[in-house]
Order: sequence, then C-alpha cells, then structure tokens
Amino acid sequence: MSDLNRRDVLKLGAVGAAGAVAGLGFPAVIRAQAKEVVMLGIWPFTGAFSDVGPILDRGMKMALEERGMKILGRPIKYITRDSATQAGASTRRVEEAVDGEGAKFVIGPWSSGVALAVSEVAKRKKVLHYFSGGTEDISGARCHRYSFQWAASPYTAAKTVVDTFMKANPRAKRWHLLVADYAFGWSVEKYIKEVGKTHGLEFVGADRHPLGEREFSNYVTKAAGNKPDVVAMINFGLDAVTAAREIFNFGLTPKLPLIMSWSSGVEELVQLAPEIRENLWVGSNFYYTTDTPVAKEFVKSYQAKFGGPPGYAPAAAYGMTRMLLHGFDRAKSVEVQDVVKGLEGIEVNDLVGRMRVDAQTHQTLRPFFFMRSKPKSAMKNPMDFADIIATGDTPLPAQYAACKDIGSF
Amino acid sequence: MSRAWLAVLAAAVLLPMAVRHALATEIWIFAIFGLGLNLLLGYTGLLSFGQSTFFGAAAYVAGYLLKHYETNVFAALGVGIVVGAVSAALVGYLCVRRSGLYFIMLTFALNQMFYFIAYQWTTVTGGEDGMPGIGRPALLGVDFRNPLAYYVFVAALFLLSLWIMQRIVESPLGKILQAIRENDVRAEAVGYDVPRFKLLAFVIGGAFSGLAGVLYSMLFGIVPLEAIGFVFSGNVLFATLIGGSGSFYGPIIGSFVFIWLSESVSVVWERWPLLLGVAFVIVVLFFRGGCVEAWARFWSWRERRRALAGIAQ
Repeated sequence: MSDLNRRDVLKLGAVGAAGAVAGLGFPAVIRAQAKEVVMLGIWPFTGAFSDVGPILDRGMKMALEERGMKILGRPIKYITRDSATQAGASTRRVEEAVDGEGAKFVIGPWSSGVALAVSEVAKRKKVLHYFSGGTEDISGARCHRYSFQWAASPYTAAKTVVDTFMKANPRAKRWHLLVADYAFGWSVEKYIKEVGKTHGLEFVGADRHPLGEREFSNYVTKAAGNKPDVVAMINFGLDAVTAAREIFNFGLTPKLPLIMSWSSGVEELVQLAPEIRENLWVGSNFYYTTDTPVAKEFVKSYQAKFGGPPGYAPAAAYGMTRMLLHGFDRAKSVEVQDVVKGLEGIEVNDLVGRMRVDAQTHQTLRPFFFMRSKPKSAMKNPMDFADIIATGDTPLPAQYAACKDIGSF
Repeated sequence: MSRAWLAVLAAAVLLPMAVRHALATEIWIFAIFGLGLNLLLGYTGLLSFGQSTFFGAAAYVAGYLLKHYETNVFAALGVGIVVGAVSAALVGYLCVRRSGLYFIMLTFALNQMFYFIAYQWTTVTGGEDGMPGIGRPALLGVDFRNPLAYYVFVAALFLLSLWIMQRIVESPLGKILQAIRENDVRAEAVGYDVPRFKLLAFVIGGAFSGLAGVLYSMLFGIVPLEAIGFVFSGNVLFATLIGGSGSFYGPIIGSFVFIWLSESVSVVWERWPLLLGVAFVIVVLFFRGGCVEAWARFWSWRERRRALAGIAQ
C-alpha cells in the first residue's frame, strides 16, 4: 500500500513538474496572434520602487480599458513584466516580451537609469517606447526614433518653479538647494541655477545626497548654517519625504518656505503631517485637481475604483498610454514606425492640457504644475493637500538641447 | 567522461531549444560566475559577499573598451579576466588575514566602495544610468549579434571554464584549499602558507567572475550599475547555496534554478521573491548541500527502499 502511495506521489510530482514546465517555461512557444496589438507595461513590482509598480499598472490598464482594449478595430493584449528597478533584469524581460510575446509597444519603467536601458532595447528591437521621468537623456543626449518622453523637461519644471515662486516671494533671494546625486538631480539643479540668474538669486548652498539617503540631519544643519530664505529640494519619493520631515523637525520649516521641485504630488504629500506641509511649495507633473476634462474624468473614475485620488505615477502611466493611442489614431496604422510618425508632431488636448510631441527630440511639450500646500484648516477633505497656483510650459531653449539629430529608423 | 559531464553537455545542447537564447546564455554566464564563487565558498570555506566587485569591474573595463574602441572579443575577454583577477587580488589582500564575520564584512564593505566609485564616476560608468551601447564585435566572420551564435560561444567558454575549474579543484592546489576549508590551523601546521593560498583562491575566483562580467556586458549591451552592487553579490551566493555549495556542479544547478525559475515565475506572479525566500529557508533548514544534496538523498533513499524490498522478497 505504502509502495503505491509513493508511486502516486512520484507520478503526481512528475505531472506537476511537467505542468509547471509547460506553463511557466518555454515562452518562445507562446506566440502572439497576428491580429493582436501587444503592449508591454514594464513596471517595478519588486525592488526599490515596488510600491509604485501596481499603481502604474492601474493607470495603463485604465487607459486601455477606456478604449475597450481595442485600437483601430484590433484587440489589444496588455502584458506586464517586472522591471525590479534593475537594468539587467529589465533589458532581459523586455527582450523576452518582444521576442516571445510579440510586444511592439513598451511603456515604462519608473527609474531613469533603467529607462535608458529599456530605451536601448527599444532602439535595437525597433519597438516603440514611452517613458515618463526625470532623465533628460531620453529626449536629449541619447534620443532616437523609438523612445518618447512624457514628463516635462527639467527646464520646464525649473522655470515654472522658480518664476512662480519668485512672483509670490520676491524677496526670497537666498536659495539653498538639496539635490539627489544623480543625472536627474543634476539637470534640474543646472536649470534652476540658470533660471535663477534672471531673478538675481544667490545660491548659498547646493548639497548633494546619494539616492536612497535616510539620514538628513547633517544636510539640514548645513542648510541652516547658510541662512537661506528658502530651501529647494530636487529629489524624489521617499528621499524627499524623509528630508522634508527632518527639515521640519529641525525647525527650519515652516518659518522658511520649502520647495519640492519635482514631486509625485499626492503620493508624497500624503506621507507628510499637515504641520510639515505648512509652508510647502510643490512642483509636479500632475496634480489631481488639474482642470481639464480628461483629468476630471480620470480622477473621478480612479477615485471610484481605488478610493483615493491618483498621484503622478498612475497619471503618467495613464497619460502615456493615451498619448500612444492618439498616435495610433493619427497614424491609422498599428505598425511601429507608422505610430512613431503619428506621434511626431502630434498635438492634442489631453490629461494635463495642451500636449504636443516635438518631432525633433520626442519630448512631450506640456504644462508643469506648481502647487502651494494648504494649511490644515483650509483642507476640505483629507486628500485636499494643495492648490495649483501656476502652470508653465516653456520648452527647453535650443541652446541646451542635447538631441541634435534624432536619426532615422 | 563522467556521467555528470555528459549531463552538462546535454544540457548545453538542449537548453537553447527549451528556453530563449538570451536566457540560456545568461544561465551559463551566471554559472561561470558561480564556479568562481564556489572555489572560495565550497572549496576554501571563504564566504565572500563581494563577488560582484570583480564581475562589475571587469564588465566596466571591458565594456568601455568594446564601446569606445570596438576591441577584439578575445582581447576584451582577456582584459576582463585580468581586471577580475587583479581586483580580486586587491580585495583578497585586504581580506584573507581576517576570518569569519570580519572577513565577510570586509568583502561586503569593499564591494560597496567599488559600487560607489562606479556610482560617482559618471563620465566613465554612466553612474545610475549604467554604461549602454556595448557591441558584440564579430569574431572570425561569426556575427555574435545572432543570439544563437553568441549562445554557442558562451556555452563553449562555460564548458572550458568548467574543465579548467575541475582541473584546479582536483590538482594538489585544490586539495590544499580543501584542507584549509577543513581546518586552516592544521593546514598551517603542515607547512602551507594559508593566507597565500586563500589569496590565490581569491584571484582565481576573481578571474572567473571577470570572464562572466564581460560576457554579461556583451549579452545585454549594457553594464548596469547593479552589476557591481551587493545585491548581485548576494544573488550569486544565493544561487550557489541553492544549487549546493559543497558540490562541484552545485553552482550550475543553482544558476539554472535561480535564473530560469525567477524568470518564469516573475511573469506569473509579481511577488516571486517570496518563493525564492522560502526555497532558501528550506535549503538552510533541511538541505545544507542545496539541490545536489536533496538529489543525492533522494537517490540513497530510493536505493535503500529497493534494497529493503529485495530483502523482503
């Protein structure tokens, strides 16, 4: 009897293993049907930004579902892969999705460094790639025909932030900058200093901290020692949240205004206590009170589905997907190169207002938002963090443009 | 030729038919990386938590040459091996006189140092963005941009590495290293210069890591920053432990399980690292020798059953 049992167990094991092999492995065998348009969302489901992956996925899905998962009469097959915020893993998985599943349109990921790796794959595999994030290089030094940038140029952001802030606080001339030490931080810093010149600003300090810093006390003491009129942070996510808390704990804010120049909006603000938000000025690529019909509709259905307003991440995924679909419409084709041409020079009124894709650089020219945080007494609901006080869409001046020739297919 | 060698050969031939070529290639690259670590961990008893230092350093240097000068593939591989060995000699020199926790922490700390050099030195390494644009120059008229051609090249190099490693561990040197693993005080008493041999193991391990690093950069066309990060050091350690660190073939099995499984499962289930964690716990609690031990135990259990059944009849 026991013998039989063992055999059964072995057999079951063998069947199970075979099943696992058939189901999990051999992706080369599974080919996409010819008529489907396969779109890949490469999002960080594990690793450094694993909290953002699922909400990015939501945004993209919502944009596709609005169209009934169809484009130009063809069904859209939406697949996702885990970017793990690792360039190697992302490269490998995007290639696999392109070769194995026939993905031709790639959106994501979240981190700039990984995005550049994915952009290389897009160039090599000749698939369309849309990205939203801080790196200038996608539409700059490393531009090519297959990659597009959705987020505003760091210049647009810097210009909006500095101009608007100086209009509201003309006497705050002494600025201290706290900068995340990588490509994104440097480029925003560069432009804030450029724009600052026109206002006669004095940059009393510019301190750089590594990505993922969790101990800001020494940076805060330095900032305090410089006696600035304002502290402007050029960092993102948990770095920004942690720094803002520490600056408050040290007693710098709310006496001094604090600027978060490139924030994800809701996702960061919700992590800050109301007192910390008191004298806080926030620049962002999206805020949910954006007054456009598309944004209103999006925020309404997002809130109905998930119980809270969307921040920059889901909005970016949603916005990129919508732009991509507009590209299809304009091209009237589902071929990659036609859609690229469809997107080049396209002009639409979409999520954040008037949006246009520069054919020379593949930069999406679009408004950037500057918000002022509300005191607790003025908040109408727990998610009512800020008012948009200005938007700006000054594009990158030609002398800074690093994308000299976007090349051919 | 032993049965294990036949199995490895068969796997090298069959793998590209079963999985995508890039994935198959990566499995063998990771296996070369694991072989280097296993010489330290399995044969010398040194738990190095900084193997990606050598892997990444070689990848950056060779990648730079390939990117800017389109060097010959063999020259790039040679440079990578040398860089791996030299960086391992540097790190090893500082580490081998310490043991236990201090040794592990030193390898880890030096790994972090190299990581931050790569992170800060953006003009060369690209920092956070990595170093993209690495080509695969053709060799003797063979275009390595063809994934299958590159796979064959990597698989051949892997088999060569495996053969060399086997020669090393079966040589007197290998036996000395094993003696050091078993009892370094006694090895010293017998007259061996223990730190020197540990350093030698480090250098050889580093050379294998370097080779893997160059192949990796050519596979993906980029040296990502994480290639020199401590998570990467952890991954190869993890794969080797799952495969079986005491065994010669352990790293190969580990590499296969780690890469293939994580790739397949990550498509189906977003929280796949949980599975790896569970596997690791099982290995540590029940099969300290990894998959190899689990397999051996299964066989001996079967043999015993058979023998018992024979007696009963």
